[in-house]
Amino acid sequence: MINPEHSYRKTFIGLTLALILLTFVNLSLGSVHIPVDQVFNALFGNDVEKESWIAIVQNYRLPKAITAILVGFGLSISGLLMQTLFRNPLAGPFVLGISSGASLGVATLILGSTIFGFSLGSYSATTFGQSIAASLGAFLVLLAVLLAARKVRNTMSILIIGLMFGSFTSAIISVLAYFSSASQLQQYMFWSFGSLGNLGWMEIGILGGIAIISMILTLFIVKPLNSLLLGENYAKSLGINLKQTRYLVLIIASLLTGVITAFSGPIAFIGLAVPHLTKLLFSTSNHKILLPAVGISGSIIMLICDSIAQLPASEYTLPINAITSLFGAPIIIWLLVRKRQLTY
Amino acid sequence: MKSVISAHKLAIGYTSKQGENVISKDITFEIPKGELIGVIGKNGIGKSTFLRTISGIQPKLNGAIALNNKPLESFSTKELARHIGVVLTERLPESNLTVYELISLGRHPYTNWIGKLSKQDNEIIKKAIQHTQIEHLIQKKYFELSDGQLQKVLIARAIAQDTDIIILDEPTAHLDVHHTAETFNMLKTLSTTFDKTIFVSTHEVNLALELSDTIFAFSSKGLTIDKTSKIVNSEIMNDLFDSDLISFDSVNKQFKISKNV
Repeated sequence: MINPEHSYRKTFIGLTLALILLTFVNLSLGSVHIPVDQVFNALFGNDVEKESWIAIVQNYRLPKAITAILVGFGLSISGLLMQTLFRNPLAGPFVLGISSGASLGVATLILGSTIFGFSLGSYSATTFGQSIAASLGAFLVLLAVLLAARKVRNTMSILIIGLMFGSFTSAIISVLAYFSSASQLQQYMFWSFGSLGNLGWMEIGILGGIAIISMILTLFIVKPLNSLLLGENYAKSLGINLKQTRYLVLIIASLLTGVITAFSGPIAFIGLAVPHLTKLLFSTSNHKILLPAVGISGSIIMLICDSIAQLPASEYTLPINAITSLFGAPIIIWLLVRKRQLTY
Repeated sequence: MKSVISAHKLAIGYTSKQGENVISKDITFEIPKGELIGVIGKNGIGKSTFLRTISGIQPKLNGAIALNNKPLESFSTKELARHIGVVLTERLPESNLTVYELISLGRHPYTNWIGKLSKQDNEIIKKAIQHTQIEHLIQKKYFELSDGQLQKVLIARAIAQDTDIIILDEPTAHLDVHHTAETFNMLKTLSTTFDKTIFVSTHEVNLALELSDTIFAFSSKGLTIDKTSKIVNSEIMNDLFDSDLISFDSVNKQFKISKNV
């Protein structure tokens, strides 16, 4: 009678083409402008006008573009999962306090030395050390949230508990910051600005691996997520295992958020704003369509934000976190003011 | 008598840290296939608790419930979904679901792991749509519907779930007289022609008495269960609302509001 998937095929093709095009635009922009055809040559080992361009594209810009794609994908999917689970349009990957946990890990590493009397100075400066600290912090908060989820019946309580974990860890960071030196604070600030450019191929491999695992796991919750659109009681009456679904959603969302925050800092607004933008474009709630659509849109928007952050043809690079919020906040306000239903 | 659903000395209510809050107890019944059952009584007397308990949403306090002579607890959530369909009073969360998508969610207990609808699934959905006469609505988003239309869609979803038992909690609460009568008629044909057992709680007592085969009457004196033809001649009808304002006219089998008390 009706095949809902059919009518979205063209939009999907359009989005994928946009993603490929934007990847090349992103690769060509930066402090040195490299024409798109030369980017193409550099990528596939053909002759390039300037020898140095090959190194710039292959060693610096390509990893950053891939990171942008993965980060945008992961944060947006994570945001959509949270919005559906909590049936709350303002939920996002950050509501569980996972990224606050990551921030706490990094803050302890960089700022904690004064208080705890030991020096991790040599580690705190490295991206690797920061990633480990952030992963540990994110993982600890994830454990705490899952333990809490076991005790609480009501899904809304998990949302509030997550927010409480968030404020609790922020408070600890404030205390740490109070006792820290200016140079330590600056180092922490730089981490919290977010950065897509610090990842080596190994880190990208880990990020990509987590993204793929999450994607496979998400396939198994498409059906429960769709039933949850009718509310928890209807979902249960349709034979959905609520507890199992809840755990899977929490684990997928926090894995993605945790690993992304660990590698590229706390990047705001993508997870909150992209699901809403995608829903305006696709006007469906069917997760079979929404999940891939939100993922691709997230990648596209992250690439755009990164291209802007590089301030093309200048030496400067703006913090990525500022760019996403600069775009994200007005979009959310615009959505609310337009009184378009914020559906989830 | 082969019963679809039965209960023995069932106690319903809530448990809290202070102990058990029993709402009704010693409930015993056996319901055969294809009956329309009206569940009536004042607000807050336990109709919803009863329906939620027999549909497995809320745990019972004591006693036994059996589906096809097997204990309700022996069914997994998934199996239960193939035996009992529900229409609840709660508001649906906001979403972009279309009417067709909403009804097709009723097929979840039968579809594969990703929820792909088979040809047979689509046939069953089509039948549910025809029975509830909502062909003109299927392309719309569900939030564009009126209360009456939405109620039909929710009933169609329950029909598409293809269960022996359908449980409806006050499906006519927000409806006008026309849609109320239409809904009851639809439920009546569903029970007679499709042989489904339908529990419906309602404040439309007169309609319930007219169309139901069996009545579950919750009053201050407890729960009375009997065939409609018998219960209308019993004393219980006068106790139902426990009020001087409302009296039962046993000749016309109707409740009346007294004008001057």
